[in-house]
Amino acid sequence: MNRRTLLLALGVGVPAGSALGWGLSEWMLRSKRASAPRSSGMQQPIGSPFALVDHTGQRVTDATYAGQVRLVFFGFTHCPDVCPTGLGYIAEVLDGLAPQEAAAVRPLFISVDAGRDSPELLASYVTNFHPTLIGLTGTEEEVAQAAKAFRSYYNKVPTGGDSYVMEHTASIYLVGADDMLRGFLDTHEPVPTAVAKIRLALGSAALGAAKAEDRSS
Amino acid sequence: MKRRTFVAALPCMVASGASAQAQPGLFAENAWSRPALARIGTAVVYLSLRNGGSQPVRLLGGSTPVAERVEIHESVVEGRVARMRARPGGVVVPPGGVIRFEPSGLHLMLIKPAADLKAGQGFTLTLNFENGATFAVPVQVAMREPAAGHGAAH
Repeated sequence: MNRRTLLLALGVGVPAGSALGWGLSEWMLRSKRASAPRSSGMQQPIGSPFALVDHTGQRVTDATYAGQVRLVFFGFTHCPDVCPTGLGYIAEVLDGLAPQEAAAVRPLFISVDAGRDSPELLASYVTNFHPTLIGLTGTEEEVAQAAKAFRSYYNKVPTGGDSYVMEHTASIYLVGADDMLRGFLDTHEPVPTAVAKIRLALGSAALGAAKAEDRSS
Repeated sequence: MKRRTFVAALPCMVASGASAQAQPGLFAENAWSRPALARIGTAVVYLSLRNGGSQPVRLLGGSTPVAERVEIHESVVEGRVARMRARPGGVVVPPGGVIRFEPSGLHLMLIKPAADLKAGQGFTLTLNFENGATFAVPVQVAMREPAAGHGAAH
């Protein structure tokens, strides 16, 4: 190898190699990010913007539920285990609140399966769990945007033939009336724990409303 | 966690309620299912398998008149993400051990239920074991897990 070839090799090889290395590390980081979504920090605004359709066929946006305490759960109707467990837990928690408290909470079930979950199918599904539960769906793009707004992850996993399941973030988001993420409900926690978390969120919502009233008077 | 301890502490009481015995020492307890819509095409059964015998027993799957087929699946929540895995090789219940099919974990998935499953209804699930044993377990459809030991009573 003469000097010229060596220089050429270094000149091409080193930048190409580092570019490859950088690309590889980026790719690895990205795939890592995909499998373990970023943690959603507490006390950060969350859940905006989105535009979806509810299970009664009405168009809704994040503004529809703004100013209210929300429970938000992503899933899909064909999910036999995790989603019914989460929704069943939400139903128990709502029943654990006083009726006027429960009436102040908007429980939202956002489908990550736009292909199969029509508003009509969602209607027959969510009402099985609790009469106040709201099912939301939309086009693939609308659902993707809603998931993004909640820093939520989902992915379609083929299971043979034309059947598939969705893997998805299974946390139950507790969003305050101020649109801040107040935390998550965990189906492994006793129902009274979740009830207490919601009461805290409702309490500060009432406090916020009282302050706003003070300011306006 | 609390419930697990409770079930483990009171096996006799559980056995007298919603329990069935396949072969000496092997019990299925607290089998329950959730309401499900036939048009959605999936349903679930949860139960506990307790092996009081001296040999390990492998559950391979099952069948039921209310669905086209039954598969063993497992939900795994990693980070905050839920994934589902098929367990085609089945599940081994070690001697003296208990395997719990429970929400957000191992479950028996019913594929293509023939009709809607409604709370209060009951049906039979036949479990198939590797040693050739089969056993029919009564399953209760309920919104929530029936309290241990009272599964069939309400």
